[in-house]
Amino acid sequence: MTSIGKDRTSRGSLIDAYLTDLERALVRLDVADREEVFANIVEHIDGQRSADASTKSDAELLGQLGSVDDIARSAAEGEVNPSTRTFDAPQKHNDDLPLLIVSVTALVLCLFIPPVGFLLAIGESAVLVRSRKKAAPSSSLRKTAVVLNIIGIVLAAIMLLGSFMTLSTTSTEETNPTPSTPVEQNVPTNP
Amino acid sequence: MQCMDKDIESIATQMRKGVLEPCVLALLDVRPRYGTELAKRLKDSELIASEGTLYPLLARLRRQGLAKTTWEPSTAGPPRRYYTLTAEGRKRVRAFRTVWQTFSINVDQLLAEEP
Repeated sequence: MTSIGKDRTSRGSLIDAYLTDLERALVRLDVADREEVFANIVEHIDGQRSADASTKSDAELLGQLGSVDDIARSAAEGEVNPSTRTFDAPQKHNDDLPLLIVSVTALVLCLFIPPVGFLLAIGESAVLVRSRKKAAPSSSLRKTAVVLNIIGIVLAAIMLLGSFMTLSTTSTEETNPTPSTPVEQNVPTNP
Repeated sequence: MQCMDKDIESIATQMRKGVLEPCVLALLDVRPRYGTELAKRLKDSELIASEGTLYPLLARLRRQGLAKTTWEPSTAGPPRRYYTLTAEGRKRVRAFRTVWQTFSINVDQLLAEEP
C-alpha cells in the first residue's frame, strides 16, 4: 500500500493509529480521491485540535469524526470506479446479449439469404441507435453487435449488388444476343 | 419498542442519504464554508451521524464541478479549505428546491389522509 498524505507528522499514538486505519480503509478508492478524503480528515483533526486544544481529548475528537469504516462506506457510495461498483453493471451486459445473438443471426443470414439478413441487420441497427441513450455506455457486447451489423450490411449489399449485376447482364444478353465471333480458321498458306 | 426504534433509524438513514447532498449544496449556496463548519451544522440537524462521513461527499462535489475550494487563513489554527458553489452547483440547488417543494407537499398530503 502506498503511503498517502504528504504530512505524516506524529499527532499522538491514537490519532496516528486512526489515520493508518483510515488509509487502509480507503485503499479501494482511486489515488486522487483517497488523497483528497485523507487530507480533509487530517485538516479536520488539525483544525479541531488547535481550536479545542484545552477542551477536547483525542478520543472525543475521533469519536465525533466517526469510524474509518463509516468514512470508507460514505466514500464508496458515490464511487463509480469498477473496483468498488458492485451493483447493476453485470445486468446491463446481460441485457445486451440478445442484441449480439440477433447480430450473429443477421450476419449468417447475410451470407445465405442476403435480403433477409440485410433487413434484419438494418432493423437491429435502428433499434441500437434508438436505445443508445438508455444503454450502458461501456457495454462491449453492444459494441460487438454494432460491428457485426455493419459487416453484415456491407456483405449483404455487396452480394445483392453482385446478384443484380449478374441478372442484368443475363437479361441484356437474352434481349440482344450478340453474334458469335467467327472462329478464326487457320488456312494453310502456300509458300 | 426496540423494533420500532430500529425501523425509525432505518427510515431516517435512507432519507438522510437522499437529501444530504442537496442540503450541503444549499448550505454552500448561502455562503462559502469550511469542512468542520459544515460537518457541525449537519450534525446539529441530525443529517449526518459522524462528521468524517461528510468529507467523501465534499470531495465528490468538487470532482463533479458542483463546488470548488479555496484556502483561507484562520485565526484559530491552520489555514482552512473553504467550499464555494460553482454555477453548476447553484443550478443543482435551484432544481432541488423546485422538486422538494412539490415532493414535500405531496408527501404531507398523502400522510394526512384519514383512513
